[in-house]
Amino acid sequence: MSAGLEAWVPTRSQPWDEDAAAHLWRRAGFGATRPQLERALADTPAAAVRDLVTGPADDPACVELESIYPVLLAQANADALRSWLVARMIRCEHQLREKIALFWHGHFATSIAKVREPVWMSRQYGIFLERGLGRFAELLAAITRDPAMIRWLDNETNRKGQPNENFARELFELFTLGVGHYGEHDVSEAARAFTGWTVLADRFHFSVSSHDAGDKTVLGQTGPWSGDDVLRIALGQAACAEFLAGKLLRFFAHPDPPPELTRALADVLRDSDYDVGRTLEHLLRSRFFFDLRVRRGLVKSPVEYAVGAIRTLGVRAEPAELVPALREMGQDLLAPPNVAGWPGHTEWINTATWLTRVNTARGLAERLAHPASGEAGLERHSRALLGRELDARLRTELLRDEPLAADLAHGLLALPEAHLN
Amino acid sequence: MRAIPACLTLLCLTLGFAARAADTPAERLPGGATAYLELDDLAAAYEQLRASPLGEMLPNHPAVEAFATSPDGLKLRILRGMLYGATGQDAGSLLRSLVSDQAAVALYPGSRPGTPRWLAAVRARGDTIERLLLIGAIVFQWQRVDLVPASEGRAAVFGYGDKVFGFRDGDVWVLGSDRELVEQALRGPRRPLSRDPRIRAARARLPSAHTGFAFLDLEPFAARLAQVGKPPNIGAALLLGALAEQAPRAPWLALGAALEPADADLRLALSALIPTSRASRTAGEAFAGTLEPLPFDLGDRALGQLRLHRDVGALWSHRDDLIAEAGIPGLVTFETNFGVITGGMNLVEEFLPSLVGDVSIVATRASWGQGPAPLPRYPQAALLLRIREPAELAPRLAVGFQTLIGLVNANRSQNGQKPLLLGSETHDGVVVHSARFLAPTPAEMEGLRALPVRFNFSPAHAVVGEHLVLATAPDIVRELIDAHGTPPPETDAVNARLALRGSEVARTLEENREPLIAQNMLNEGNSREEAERAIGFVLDVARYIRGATLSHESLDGMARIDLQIGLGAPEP
Repeated sequence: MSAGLEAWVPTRSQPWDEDAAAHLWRRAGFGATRPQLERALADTPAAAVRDLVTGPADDPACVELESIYPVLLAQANADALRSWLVARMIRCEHQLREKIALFWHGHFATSIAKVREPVWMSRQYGIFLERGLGRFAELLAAITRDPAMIRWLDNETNRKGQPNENFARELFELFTLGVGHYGEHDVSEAARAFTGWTVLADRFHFSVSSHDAGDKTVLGQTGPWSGDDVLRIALGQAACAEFLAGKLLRFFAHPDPPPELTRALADVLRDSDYDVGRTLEHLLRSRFFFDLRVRRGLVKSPVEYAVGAIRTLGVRAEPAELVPALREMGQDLLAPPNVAGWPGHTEWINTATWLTRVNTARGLAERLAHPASGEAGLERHSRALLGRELDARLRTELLRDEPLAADLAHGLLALPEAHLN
Repeated sequence: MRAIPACLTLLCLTLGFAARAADTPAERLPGGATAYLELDDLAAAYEQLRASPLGEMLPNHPAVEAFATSPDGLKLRILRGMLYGATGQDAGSLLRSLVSDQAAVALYPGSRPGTPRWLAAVRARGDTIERLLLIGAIVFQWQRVDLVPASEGRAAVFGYGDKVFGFRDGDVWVLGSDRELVEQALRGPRRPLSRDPRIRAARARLPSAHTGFAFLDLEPFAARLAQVGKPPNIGAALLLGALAEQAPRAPWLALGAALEPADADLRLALSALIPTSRASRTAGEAFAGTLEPLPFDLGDRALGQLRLHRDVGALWSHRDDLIAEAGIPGLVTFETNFGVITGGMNLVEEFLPSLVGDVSIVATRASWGQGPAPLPRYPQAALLLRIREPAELAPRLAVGFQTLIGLVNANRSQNGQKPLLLGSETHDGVVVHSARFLAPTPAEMEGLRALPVRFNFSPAHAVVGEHLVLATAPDIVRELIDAHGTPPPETDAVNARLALRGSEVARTLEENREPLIAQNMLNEGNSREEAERAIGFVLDVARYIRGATLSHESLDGMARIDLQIGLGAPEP
């Protein structure tokens, strides 16, 4: 294993400092609070990454949020559930768990616009929270049986003699292999394997009478395959590990990772039996990840931007108010635009979404829990948000006309750098 | 001869009253104000509130104690400390010394738009005002200047910088932002503001103006108010009635407030009054008149009642005049669909002419017994419309109800949502049609501690006496059937009324404590502890509210809205 995946060793020119630790927390979570940053710096990078992967033993804020979950499920209100997810991202300590759940939500993109059942959507997201850092095979098996996914990709109408290919196609194209690693025949045969995989009484139900039990040939293998067999066959393809490794790299590290790095990470994924947590641990402590050219190399998604500002600057957040703002910025949780999810990176920014970002930043800046103005305030906020102090020219510019604390914070949040991860 | 002492007595009393009347602070303010506020005996009202059960509960409530230690609470404590240091009085004493009798303040047009001049007159004991002026002088660095020396019968006029001018005459202080206004007050205005005919007319029609009275001249805002459009939809038009047309054209607005004992409780009464120009013919047809008695007495079970005296047929006929253009297409669609749903009943030719009297909505708390209940737990509500020829219309309306449920089910099934099961029963000789959701699946209930929210709704329909009833649950229909009888007499000749029963509202809120806490955590970003404290405060205060009534009444040439809130000890 190399190509940049070897563990990073800090040097004098690239120390384990605030910038490096903030970079790790921005990518592996939604940004570090001051105490979290200090704890990370008191440890080695590898230990800090380990903590992010395993999470804390105790997370009282998350427990509080879990306590209201049954009430929200009963209410079956989509926006209330969205607010709850945002509140988790802000307050839960196991930030990588929240971040990987968001990743899988974009990967297995399913929209409430068609599913229509907020509870189903919420339970699907629960699968990502519960299994997101576990084995991909188990996550895939759970999602394939998820009522929201079945409805989203029309597998309820996939029956013997009248197969519906939607799910099988997206399984190969978007969930496991990517374009070019399967053929049309594989799709139609896989669709037959998933016949009868439906929903009954809000649960996954295998309808024997609707299932095509005959032999199918999928990706060169022939047998009386059922859905689970197709999943096994897909996971056994070399392309699967590379496809997933590429997606993880583009989300957590770099918009255009080198092919050799993708292959190396694919090897890690394969060797760990598709253990996502362990694979991410390799990536997040790697030399490539901490390379200066990788830092601030991704455009923040609306969620990363808003939640990151709240966590790093210490904003008194109102999750319910953020939901419509995120929607306007182009990221409507529980409603990705299509089966491919959100394209991300530079696609997040256009004239309309930029304006909404700046306006949202204004609202956040006015709710700082500990507002600070002047040089001291600027230093504190810039180190929290950007992980560094500003250069003299920028400092002068931002401090001109002696801005109030909210204006200062807003100025920082409007900097292009504040929108980069 | 014996009449002479009586006449003399009467004369003395009149002179005494006249002398006293000229001496009231309000009499000092000259006419021409655009806004006016008068407070009478506010300190007494404050003491009454403080001594009430609610007033005794509040200072010791955990939420109030938590606020006291918060940053905002700290700022308030510092301010109180500063005032105490400067005046030697706590907040209550300060209030008593400032507004124990009467205080009046008025705004007058300034030299530039948006910069009004103010003038205030207050009867204040002791040297409180002087001390407050001194604080202002120190904080804002005002220089005190003696402007007009005292002369026989006239007080001296002083100024602080060019910001505050004033004089003291006995225990009446007059302060203002404009020297000319202050000197007018000193000379004694020929036409005091309190004798403005508009203000006198308003006071005569505001019974609840004992504690506070406010007047606002709306002429300066006429252009902006003229832009207020018609109600956006038929619901808003029904609710607002003639006020939608009258309020934007009103030349002035008066408000009155009183806090007074009512048996063992306290009653807070607020009123708003506007003069009304002659209503348009269409508004007159649709909205004029007063409520008729409603032959349903729910007694202690009633949570709330909204009653509107409306001619729905006239409103429909004149909808183009009374509703905004954007709200009309929806009505056209409704008219078409109504015929489809009711098997051909014509909305305009058959249904609307059958409606008589008032539009009423009543609500009661839903009771779930020992079984599972949904969360949130909504009250159940029923719409009541009095109809002519109920026996003839009942079957056709039943068909409409069943067809509507069928269409709803078709739509829900297409979207994979749970359908409703139709049913009917007979209760005390009345047929009740209803639709309910089937029991949730075990999978749906996983992780839930309550029924899903949709179980609050089991649409129901019946014709009870002369009333068409459309309800959110059959339970309330049965309650209405049981409560049907001789109507209690209408005590007030009002056009519209909303009444809430405090204890039932408090119980409803209590039943929804968990959803309210969850909502607070997500809306305000509070921790669970903070949310529990905030919601606990709301629920605890709600228990002290006996009830509230909001009503709209048309007087001769005026429209008045009255809000009455009863405060008392919580019911057991």
